[in-house]
Amino acid sequence: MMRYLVKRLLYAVPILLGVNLLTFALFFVVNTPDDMARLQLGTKRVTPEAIARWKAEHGYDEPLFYNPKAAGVDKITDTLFARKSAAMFVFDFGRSDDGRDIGREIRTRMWPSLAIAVPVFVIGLAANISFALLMIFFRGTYLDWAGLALCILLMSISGLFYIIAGQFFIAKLWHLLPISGYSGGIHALRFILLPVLVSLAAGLGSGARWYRTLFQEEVGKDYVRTARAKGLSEVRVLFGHVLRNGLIPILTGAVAVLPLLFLGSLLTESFFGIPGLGSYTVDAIRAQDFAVVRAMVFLGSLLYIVGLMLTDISYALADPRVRLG
Amino acid sequence: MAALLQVEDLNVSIPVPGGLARPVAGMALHIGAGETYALVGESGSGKSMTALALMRLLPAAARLRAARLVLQGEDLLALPERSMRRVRGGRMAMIFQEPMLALNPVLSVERQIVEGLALHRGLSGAAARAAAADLLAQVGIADARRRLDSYPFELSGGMRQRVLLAMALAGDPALLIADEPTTALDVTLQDQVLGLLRRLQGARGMAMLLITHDLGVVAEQAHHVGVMYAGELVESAPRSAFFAAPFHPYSRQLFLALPGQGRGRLAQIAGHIPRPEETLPGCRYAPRCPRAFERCRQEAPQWRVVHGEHRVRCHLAQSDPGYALAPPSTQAAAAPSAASGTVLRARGLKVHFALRRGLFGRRLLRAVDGLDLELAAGRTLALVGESGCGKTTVGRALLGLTRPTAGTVEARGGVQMVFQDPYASLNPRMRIASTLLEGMEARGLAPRGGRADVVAGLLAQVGLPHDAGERFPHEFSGGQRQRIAIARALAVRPRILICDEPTSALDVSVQAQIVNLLKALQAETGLAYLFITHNLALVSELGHGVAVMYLGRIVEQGPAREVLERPRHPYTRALLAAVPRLHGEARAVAVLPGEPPSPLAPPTGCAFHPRCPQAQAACRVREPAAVPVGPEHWAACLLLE
Repeated sequence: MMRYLVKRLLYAVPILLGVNLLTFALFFVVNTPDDMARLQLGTKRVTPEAIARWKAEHGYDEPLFYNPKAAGVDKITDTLFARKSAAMFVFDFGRSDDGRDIGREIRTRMWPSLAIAVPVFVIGLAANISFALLMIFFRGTYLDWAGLALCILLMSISGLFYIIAGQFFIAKLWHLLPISGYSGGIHALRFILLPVLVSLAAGLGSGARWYRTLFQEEVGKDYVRTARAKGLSEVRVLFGHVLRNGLIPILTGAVAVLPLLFLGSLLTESFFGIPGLGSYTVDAIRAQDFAVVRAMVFLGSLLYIVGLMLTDISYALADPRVRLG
Repeated sequence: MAALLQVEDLNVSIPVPGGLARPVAGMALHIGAGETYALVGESGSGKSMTALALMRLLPAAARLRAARLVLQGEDLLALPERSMRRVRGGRMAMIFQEPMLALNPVLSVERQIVEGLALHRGLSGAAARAAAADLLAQVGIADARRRLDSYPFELSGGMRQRVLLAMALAGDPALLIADEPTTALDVTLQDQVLGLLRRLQGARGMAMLLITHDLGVVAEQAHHVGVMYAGELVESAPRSAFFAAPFHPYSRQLFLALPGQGRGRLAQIAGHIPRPEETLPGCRYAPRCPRAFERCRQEAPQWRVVHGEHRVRCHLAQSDPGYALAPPSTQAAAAPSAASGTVLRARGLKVHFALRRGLFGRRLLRAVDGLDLELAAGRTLALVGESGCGKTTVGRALLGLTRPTAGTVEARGGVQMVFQDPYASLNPRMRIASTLLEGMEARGLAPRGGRADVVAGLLAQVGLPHDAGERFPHEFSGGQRQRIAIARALAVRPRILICDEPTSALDVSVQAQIVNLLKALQAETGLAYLFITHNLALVSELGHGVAVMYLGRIVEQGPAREVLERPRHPYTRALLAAVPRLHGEARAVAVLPGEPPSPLAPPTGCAFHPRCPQAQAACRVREPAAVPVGPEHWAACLLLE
């Protein structure tokens, strides 16, 4: 197991390096620092001097990969790639175009993101599994059909609709919860409740329907018949045998997205005015702040790789047949 | 004394689009305490459905109706589901055909056994663990305590079936239902498991309902036999009466379809079993019965007594009680067309697989380890051995699907293969015609015009209707699919056909059809067959020569007759002895203990010595060489040197 993890971590280095190079190429070669300066300065009266000054202020005035003017090792390190891209490997994300420290922004903004993403993930998983098991328990009856119809209805409705409906009814009409916004400490609860509820409703349909399919496949297998032949009750068959086997694909699928919870949800956060990493990314894209976008892309791929590793580990833990090696 | 289990007029019906399927109709059986009742029939006869009905484990859509369903004086139909659960696994337990699928893959052996112990005997904790270990020991698992922590995938096939049996015994049942318990096992393991069942039954005074399609298993195990056909019981008799003189034409056909009795051509049953939703006014077997007359098609036969407890549902019992079935055509297999020398030769064939372990570790799996084979045109060489002996790998290496590690393969003419599972080996999304033409096109053998004629010709050769080409594999039965697979192989006009267990997934009567087809094709075209099988009865039916394989090597080879009648290697003898016989009493002890060792760590000296009843000290050290023991007959055993 240990050896496997070390191996996977070593594999991750070239992948991240590739991601890093690719994003660097996209952001600096395709879209040169000159273009960035022009975008930031606006269309009117943009002189070459103004561009040069903007680049100097934001640290974009160095060559891409190789600096012939510098001496020694600085020929490599005094370049845009080393300062802006490779530095991210030590979590030095630099400053955003409006001058703020991106690293610090990430550290403060990840908490509101987690405050929403974690409950949505945990409660959502539990709710989807319970709903799916309930349908399986009543399989073949009208209750099963009704549940399935409900799932399809829920998943047919756009996610935006849940947000708008939730804000309109719960917040605006009935004044139960604030429409949007955020505050620290215990008061945060009032603000996260609505986005959590809305996200759960939006995810229930497709989640429960998928899990039901997984469980349905397990229920038809021979070992379930064996379990019934032992005299186990249907509830014990479902929880002791079917759930355990059906949970393997569910858990491993869920573990893959676990690290990505840090990044929050783009849609939910921007609609509910949550100052998390999701809305940070959306704002950065809107403001053409490429420094932030680059940082988020790199962070996303890093977390994704961690997620895949966790998936493999969880497989080995959940299924005795899987050995990591 | 009232029987332990009394079933009368048991019916199972399932609503299907456009009617009502009746997989079981008017079933009746009585099983006394400690008795074995064997229920015989082919797939689709309703025997497994009967077992599930007794356990009240039918699919939700199925309806169960019976005049009487009584176990130990208790009416099972009247029991509420809650009380039925105490019967299930308690007084009546069941084991299934595919032990790998029947066990929960992610739970340990201990948990799966303890579940039953907790439920029916109220055991928990250390007491339950001890009882579980005790059960494992009872079913003959060595080192039972350690095995408790194993998972099903870590066990061999024979051990899985034993674990399943231990689970069934957890509730100390009065009746054990065994649904094809040995069908998925090798003949040596089958012998062990049947012996075990017999011993346990004797020790516990347990009654058994044994469901099987194998008359050999029935002959060794049963007190009473019931034959099922298309959902109905057609004959019911004490074992000895049944085997001495089966009455129903279907029962007789089953016997005649059995290979290995030296009758020449095997009897085939024309047509196919009626679907469960088909209703027939007369006898359900009438459309296929060689003795059917007018009355059979109009009126369903009632039970008639043949003699004592021997009863049958056949109009012949009344109209012609002394009838004799027309003897099967005794035409011997056509003499092989003039053999024109060797078409396939393998010398020193080795196939080793390197298994990686950890970062640097490597282990060598010697699947085939030095093997010489020769195949002549128009002849059949049977390659026989237990699962894992490397016989399939030999086939793949000869075909070029697996690269040999060492040795040479020379083939004069094309080599084709017919695989074991006709359900998995045909592309389900391709029409039959495309499947047949694909190989020809790849080799540039396909004619420009008249493709339909080519396809029709191939289909006719394997006895399929000419319109089969436009259909898809799922529209055919297992036997028909295997015919398609043979036609596909024939399409590219090979001179050598490798048949890898082509009939082991099929019923006996269908197996007879395929075997007859293969024989006819050989006589017609002079094809050479390498027939890979674990079924020794088929060897005498088809093989001109036999090679017996053990752990990657051939241990005995010779003309089929010679080897079957005068086996010289102890392993060949054991294999032959393990085949259940139709006549004669069952053996008390298994002929071959244990299972083949792993080819990752083959034993020193003679690989067979750990299981050999005649092993001596020298066998552990020295590898035996081939010793000639007759004309073209040799065996590799130190005892013969």
